[in-house]
Amino acid sequence: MNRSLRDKRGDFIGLNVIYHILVIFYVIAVASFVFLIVHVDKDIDTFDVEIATILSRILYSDNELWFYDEEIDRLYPGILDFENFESGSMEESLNRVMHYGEENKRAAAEIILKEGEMQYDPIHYNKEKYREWIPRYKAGWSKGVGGYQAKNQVFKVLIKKGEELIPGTLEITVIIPNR
Amino acid sequence: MKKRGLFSSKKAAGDIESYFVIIKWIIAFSAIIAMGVYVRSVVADTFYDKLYFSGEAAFDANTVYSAPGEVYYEYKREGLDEYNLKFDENRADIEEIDDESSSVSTYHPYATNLDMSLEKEGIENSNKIVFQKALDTVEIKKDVKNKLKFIGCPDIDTQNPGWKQMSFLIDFSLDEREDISEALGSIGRSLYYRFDNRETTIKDIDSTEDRERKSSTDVKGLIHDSDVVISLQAEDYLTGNNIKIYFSKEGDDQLIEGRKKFACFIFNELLSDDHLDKIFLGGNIVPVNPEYAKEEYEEILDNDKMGIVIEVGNLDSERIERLKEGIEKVHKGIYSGVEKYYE
Repeated sequence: MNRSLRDKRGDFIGLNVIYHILVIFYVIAVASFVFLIVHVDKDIDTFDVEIATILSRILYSDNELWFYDEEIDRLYPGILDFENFESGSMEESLNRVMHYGEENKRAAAEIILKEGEMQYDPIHYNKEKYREWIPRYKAGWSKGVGGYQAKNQVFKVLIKKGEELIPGTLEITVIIPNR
Repeated sequence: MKKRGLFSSKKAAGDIESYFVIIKWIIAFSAIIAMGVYVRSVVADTFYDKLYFSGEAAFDANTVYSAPGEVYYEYKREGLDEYNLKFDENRADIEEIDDESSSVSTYHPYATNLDMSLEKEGIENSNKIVFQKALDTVEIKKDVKNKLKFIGCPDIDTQNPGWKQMSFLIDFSLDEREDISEALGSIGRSLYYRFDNRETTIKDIDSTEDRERKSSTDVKGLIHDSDVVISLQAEDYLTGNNIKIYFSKEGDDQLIEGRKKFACFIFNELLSDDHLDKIFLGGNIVPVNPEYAKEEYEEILDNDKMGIVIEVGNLDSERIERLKEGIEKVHKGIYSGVEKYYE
């Protein structure tokens, strides 16, 4: 064999070259793999979207919370029908128009109406679960399965009392369990 | 002293190095193959696809339910046709078509509205889902043939005189938008149909020249004689919708439900035609108190007969032109709605 392909010790030079090429490939492969692991996001957090859809259901749909003029078949989101709010049937109505099945383990909410300094009794969507979940959330159960995430938002509304429209605020707290 | 042992010679030391190199190669190749298999499994994994599709479908359903009015929305995604999507038990449930036995289904919850009926079907071999909400029905289907015109009519028995023993009047009391009025038919034209068991009488009264036609004894007499009065109006104020049908909400429940059903039949017939489909993009039926309705509607709505007012509007010039071409279809739609109701 040609002596120029051997080193001083007489070992075959090509073996080392191949070895180092393989090491380079190996390092590239490992680096790519680490890059992939770091950058592939396995967690899909849909909390914000879920909250937004529940708030939309409360704020825009015909759920008896908002004034509905049946003469012209028009709903007025933002104009709160105080008669319905006070009637005591609001909670039943909310549960009916946002129906997640017989037992709702998906979402719950509390709605607080304020007129100036005066605050009315809160109404609840999925009251039983709200009362069960909110203390746990406040106690710090927010991570992983078995935890909860909640969001509180305040909206300006007009309260329709008879023919009168009075400015007020609606504070909505939505809580959903992690899945 | 001579060294003893398996790799004690120079040649043996070189062999050791070779063995180590071979072992390193084997480990390196194994690791590369393992990583390749992992990356390939991530690429082939459909879990995220399923999570994504079912999540979007559920959120869309929730959003459609939350809308205060009518909604027609087409959700289109490449690759959706590789899955079966079901909307059962408040869940948008998705699984692979090819290997149902081993595939894990993924779902997202959505909330229904118990005050509205839900018409749904499994989405298979389709890249499209249609979400539609109108009046008191939500539809989730691969495709909806009659978009925004499927109004669910009340399922009640009505005591009717029978199709072959009644009369009805289509009154074109059109005056606000002359361009639409002309497209719909002659201003001041009235079509009167009277059916007897043996013969059909059709009167076509043209009082175009008579601008004071409200006092026309002919028309008043016809309104009085007819079992059914349908008034067509062209209106300026309609926004969003192209058709509004008013009926009186005065009277007993049976009568009101009957009127609603009648208005609903006419509405569905008018908007189910392929030609009219491109003109009327949306509409609704509205119960009104005749006392608060427009003065000219009062006569039509405020009686014990079946009377409705159809308002047409919010049309651009192109659609007005189409309406002109398809005016016979409007007449046929009304006629066929009346026929279906009284059959």
